Amino acid sequence: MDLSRRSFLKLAGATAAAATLTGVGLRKASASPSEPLRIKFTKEVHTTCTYCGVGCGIICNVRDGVIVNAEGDPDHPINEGTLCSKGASIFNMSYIFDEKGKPRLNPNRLTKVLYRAPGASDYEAVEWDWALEEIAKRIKDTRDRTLVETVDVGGQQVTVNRTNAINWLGSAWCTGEENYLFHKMVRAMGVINVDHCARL
Amino acid sequence: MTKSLYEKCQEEITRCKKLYKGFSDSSPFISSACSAVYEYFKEHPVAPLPAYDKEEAADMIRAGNSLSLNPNLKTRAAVGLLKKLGEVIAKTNPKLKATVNELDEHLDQFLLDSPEEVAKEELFNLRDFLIKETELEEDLATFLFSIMLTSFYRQYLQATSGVLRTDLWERGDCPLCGTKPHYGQLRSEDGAKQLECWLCGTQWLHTRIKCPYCNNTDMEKLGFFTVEDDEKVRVNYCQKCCQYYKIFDARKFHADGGVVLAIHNLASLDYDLLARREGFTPGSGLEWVNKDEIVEAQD
Repeated sequence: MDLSRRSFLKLAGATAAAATLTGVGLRKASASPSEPLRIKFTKEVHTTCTYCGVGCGIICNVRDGVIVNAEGDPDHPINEGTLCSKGASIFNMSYIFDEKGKPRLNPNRLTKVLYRAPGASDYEAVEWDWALEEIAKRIKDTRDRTLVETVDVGGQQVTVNRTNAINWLGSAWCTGEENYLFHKMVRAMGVINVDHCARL
Repeated sequence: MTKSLYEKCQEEITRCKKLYKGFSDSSPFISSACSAVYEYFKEHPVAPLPAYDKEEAADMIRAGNSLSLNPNLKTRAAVGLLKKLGEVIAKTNPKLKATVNELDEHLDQFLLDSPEEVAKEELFNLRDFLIKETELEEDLATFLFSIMLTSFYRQYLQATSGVLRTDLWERGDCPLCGTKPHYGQLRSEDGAKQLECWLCGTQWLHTRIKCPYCNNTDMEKLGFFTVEDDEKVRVNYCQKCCQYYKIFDARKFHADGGVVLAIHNLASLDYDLLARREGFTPGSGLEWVNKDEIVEAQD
């Protein structure tokens, strides 16, 4: 048996007092079984802000599958840790804190398609399939009804294939690529009033 | 230790007493240890080593190579400071007088057996020897040797530290001396993760979601834990290399820069114990927890 001097003295019961940090007052509170410290595990997850085309980096703190905090990513080359007021509140897109400070699903978050019929005062929940069908049908009806194929320019008929009855507003929530595709789609339909709610 | 650092340490101790539950009990010892270090260097001043060439240093950092400055220490000075800290231990707890005397004997012997200057590694061997042969436990040994080493390193490397381009450094180890960090902070102004070398005090930025030890960036394998109702200390861990380090969230301190993280580290040793009990080892190699403390929880 390989005995160090310390082990030998310990066996002989002839040692000086053990010199620990506790011995000089540095008590580790977590060592106490009477007052155990409860641990909360959190994951940090990268994401990109969806509010506008700037594409700021965000770090979300996720605990037990729930986002508990969202903050600007300091390592992101675009925003370097900062966020605008909308981006800073992006946490609330999914969750709100209740009066006890616990995150709860935001009750104002839309999870269904809401439709208000012409003349109606209230919204009603409708199915996605119905809504998409209806939007496509109405766009096509409006476009077909109002399409101007040619206009007179100096006594000559010039083909224009356009409608003034539809205005298309692109979204800053979409990516540049998505907005490009929207633009192509509506131009193909003859829409000439195209705008974008850019927040750049 | 310079006067300004000494004063900053004392201010930080006062701040930490308010921030960390239970630190009031241990602060007199830490405060006395700081005073002892300050007094020691007032009597035995240390000259900083000449600064590294600025351009050469920048080229090395740019190429991703740490300067790895690890000067030898004067054996007599290292032993002298350890003995001075031993006096603080004996004064704080007179029951430990016999143990401190035993340590002094071993230190005298080390001085006789060693050359005039010794490398850092030889001092770590001495630490391990004292743990094996005396009643000095791992946590107090880490305290003694880390305080002693950092006191010399901060002064030796002061000149080069002033010309170091830490903004070019992306690795997890220290750009100045190559040591692996034990703690860092989330900067109050932007939440960036700033690691600090426990040995020479160099601070540098490191990617938030990245392990400084194994460079893992897999978000699934990285995370941190806090304790309930206290978000100021995070224990960042990596499940790939199973190592941890502590991050102090300076945004929660309401301090205007100049935080002495070494004091926060001493005030938050609870977290080292929790991390060890969760099965993580310190990536820095600094063991702040005694074996019996880890075992207790497993029983």
